Amino acid sequence: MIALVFAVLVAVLMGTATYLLLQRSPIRMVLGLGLFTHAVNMLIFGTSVSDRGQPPVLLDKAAFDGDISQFVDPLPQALILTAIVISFGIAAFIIALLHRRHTLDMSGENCTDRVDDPFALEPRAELDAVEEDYEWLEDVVLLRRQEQQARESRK
Amino acid sequence: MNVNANWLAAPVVLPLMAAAVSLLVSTRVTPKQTRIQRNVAILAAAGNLLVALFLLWLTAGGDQRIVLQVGLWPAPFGITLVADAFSAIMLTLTGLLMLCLVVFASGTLDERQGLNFYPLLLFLLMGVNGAFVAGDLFNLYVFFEVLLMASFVLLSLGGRPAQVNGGLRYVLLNLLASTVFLATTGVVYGTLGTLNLAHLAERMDAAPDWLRIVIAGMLLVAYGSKAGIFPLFFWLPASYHTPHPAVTAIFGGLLTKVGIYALFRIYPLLFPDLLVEWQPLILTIAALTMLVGVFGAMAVKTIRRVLSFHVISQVGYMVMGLGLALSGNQLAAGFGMAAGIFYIVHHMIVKTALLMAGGAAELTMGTGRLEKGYLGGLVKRSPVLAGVFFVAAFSLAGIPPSSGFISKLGLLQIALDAQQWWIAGISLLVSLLTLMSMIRLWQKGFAGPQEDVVAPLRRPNLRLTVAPIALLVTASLAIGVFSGPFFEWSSVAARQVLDRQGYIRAVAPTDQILPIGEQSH
Repeated sequence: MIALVFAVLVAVLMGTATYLLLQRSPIRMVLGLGLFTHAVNMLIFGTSVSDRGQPPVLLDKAAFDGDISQFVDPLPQALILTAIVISFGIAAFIIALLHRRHTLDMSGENCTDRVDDPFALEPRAELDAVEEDYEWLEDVVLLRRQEQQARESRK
Repeated sequence: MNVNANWLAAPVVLPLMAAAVSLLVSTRVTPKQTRIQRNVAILAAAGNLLVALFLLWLTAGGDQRIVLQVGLWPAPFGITLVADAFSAIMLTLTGLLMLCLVVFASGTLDERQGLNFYPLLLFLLMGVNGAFVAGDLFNLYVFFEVLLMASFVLLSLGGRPAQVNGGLRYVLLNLLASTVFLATTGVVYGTLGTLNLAHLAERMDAAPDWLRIVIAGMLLVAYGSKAGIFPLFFWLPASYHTPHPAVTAIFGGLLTKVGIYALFRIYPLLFPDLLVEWQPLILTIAALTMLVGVFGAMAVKTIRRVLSFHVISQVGYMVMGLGLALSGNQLAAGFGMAAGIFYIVHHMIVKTALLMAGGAAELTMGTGRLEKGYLGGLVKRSPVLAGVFFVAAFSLAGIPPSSGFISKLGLLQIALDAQQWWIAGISLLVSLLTLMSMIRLWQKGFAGPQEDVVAPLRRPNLRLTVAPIALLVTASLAIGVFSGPFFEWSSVAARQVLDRQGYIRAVAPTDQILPIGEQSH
């Protein structure tokens, strides 16, 4: 019975996550990814055979007869803990990237992407994409020139 | 020979420690800090290469696997690290590439770009090394994530718009692939009750067919999207051309190969019969990957974009090796696997050299655009750089006596032997198209006059830049000329990968606990 509840829960979470991931707004995509990892975590949790009911803790060591068939499997919780930490870190990184992207958009320079469209570029941006590859080089050139000018003005 | 298995932890621990130490000086941004970080990275990369060579020397005979049960927990309960000849070969190559890359990066990065580059590189090294020695599915997942996290940051280091755009695609799609991988580990644990690879290999034979197909399919999707195989490759050309050339070089040489390594490790161990049953599927994927990569390379117009697409087409050849791993009439079964491993070795060396040389050309000329004569004249300007690019490019295309020729020949031989004429034909066609693409790069990028000077740039330090490329190119030529012993070596590794019973015996999972499903339902 509990297994069925878990299965339904995982299915609903995955469905919602897929729907959100297919949206164009980056925030929804982040939420979708969060739900997706939650769904997978629930899936792993569902493997711990929780309908056995007993926590895997020995209260009375002397009375224990070696029968472990009623214990819930504790390993999935360790797996989930690791997975949560990893997905949390990556979610934070994605949000930082989105924030960076947002500030780039606000500055109105160099970035011709639309904010609400993480994958498709505007046609113009597609044309500019090749130029964009070398922005970092041009930045270096600009920096050098500025340094040179600063040096000359000091003289 | 009796060896202390704790050596196996060194490829993971050493880069981690070095990265942690070099992060200590990351508080202030000065050239001095970057220099300290670089020196630590050089030391760590050299030490890592030595450890890898030691492990290679131990396992090269092909009859020994080094197994470390971390914390002395017996096999299915604790973390298991395993190294056989294949792992050791991959570890050695990774160490070599990483050392070359640190030197290359110190010649091309300036102080501002170099900030915290080296610690991230060391974290990447830790993840890659860990994936090569991981002995269970969940640790494989964790090490994948470690290397991905480092690669996310490396890719977007600098934070330019193109990098942020490319980085977002890369992060989202790789995170989805990792989540599929995690879901697979959930399914595996829920149904078979274990995650240890040797233990899984024992239990997989008794598992019902539908379950094995589900697991194999999910793993193919998860590893395939890391490796960049046909329908799942699109994150690669969207992002690989955006970061600094040094980053592109190590990504192109290492990261997709970790996915390929996982496929080469897991499939023969867990689903040897599916390798035969699914052969048409795997070969179709291989053919489409090759074709898409090589046609994509023709359509794009900068050096690094062209080379990124060639990463994909080359991955197709490796998948072809996997598809033919167990077939063979005249040749022994396992020849395909050996050809695939040999191809990985060749590809990692040559691709990194090529991406380094292309990146150095971009830096020297200020642009990588192939049209309108932006590039050109590099033959006169720095003939050594042009020379190493030439050799690397023609090794990639498969011209003798380079390693590319031998590795393609091996794959062709097994394809003809297994009477898969069509895949042999496609691989030849793709070879030809690769050669054309390389000639185009050469003509537009290096030979001929330069018509339009884009930006007079600080030149990269040519000695530091060319030396690692020359070393890698020499290695490629050496592998091509002395192909006999090298191919014998990959045959030994292939035999060991295919030897499931040996793997199970070496890891020796001990428990008698039944799969969970059988107990409670």
